[in-house]
Amino acid sequence: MTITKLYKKTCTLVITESHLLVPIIWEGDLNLHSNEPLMKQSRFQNIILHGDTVFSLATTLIEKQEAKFTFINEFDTTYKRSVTIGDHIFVEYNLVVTEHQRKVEFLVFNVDRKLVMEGTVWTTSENEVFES
Amino acid sequence: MNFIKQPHTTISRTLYQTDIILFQKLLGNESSEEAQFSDNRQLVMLAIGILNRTLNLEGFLVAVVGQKWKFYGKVMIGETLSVAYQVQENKTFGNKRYIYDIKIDLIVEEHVVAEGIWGIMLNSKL
Repeated sequence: MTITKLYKKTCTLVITESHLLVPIIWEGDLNLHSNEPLMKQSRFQNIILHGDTVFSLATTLIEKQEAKFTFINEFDTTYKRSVTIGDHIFVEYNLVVTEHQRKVEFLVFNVDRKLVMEGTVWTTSENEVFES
Repeated sequence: MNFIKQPHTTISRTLYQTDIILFQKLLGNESSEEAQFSDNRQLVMLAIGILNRTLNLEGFLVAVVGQKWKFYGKVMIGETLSVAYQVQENKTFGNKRYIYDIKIDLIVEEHVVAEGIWGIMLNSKL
């Protein structure tokens, strides 16, 4: 049996310096993320967050509205626009729950309702790992 | 283009409990001091971090265009991650823009715990 929920909307998150800087511990740093004078002159017009950070924050907005993902088995994301400190983001998503896993199709927007990222996440409903 | 640093030693990264706690704080979640394994979203960050220490992207990376990942196991506190990577197909756009897919195996003790494709846009051919 499949239960489908169509395009719910999350609350809005304001991007902070912590969202930019903390992931640099794990991802590393480049001018893209921390050289403001250089990036002000770039096509981005500002320093930008790692895309993985936007993905993590966006999917957490979904979790806070639904339930915490126990285990992400798979995901697929496409980046459309950059995100910087002070931006507001929210997510629209479609959640499909099956017997063994949940599939979440999501769209991340900025405050101007321009698409920032789109993707799909597959998670297990319980604390289990799918073997390939 | 001097894209590959070709390090003389294996570049790896051990997962610490503080990594897990900081990641949950980043997401605005309650403290998770009892968690013993990493969130897979953080594993991707760690994998890209290892690649950033392996590849000289400064000055060449225009943007990351997307990612695909599959996960096969949990990575516990104290385990050490490394990556194997392979540059795959690419597309060329006008105005010096080149998109490459980097195939990544995330490895713990010779076991592949995740596979990913990292799509990046560069301003130079490899």
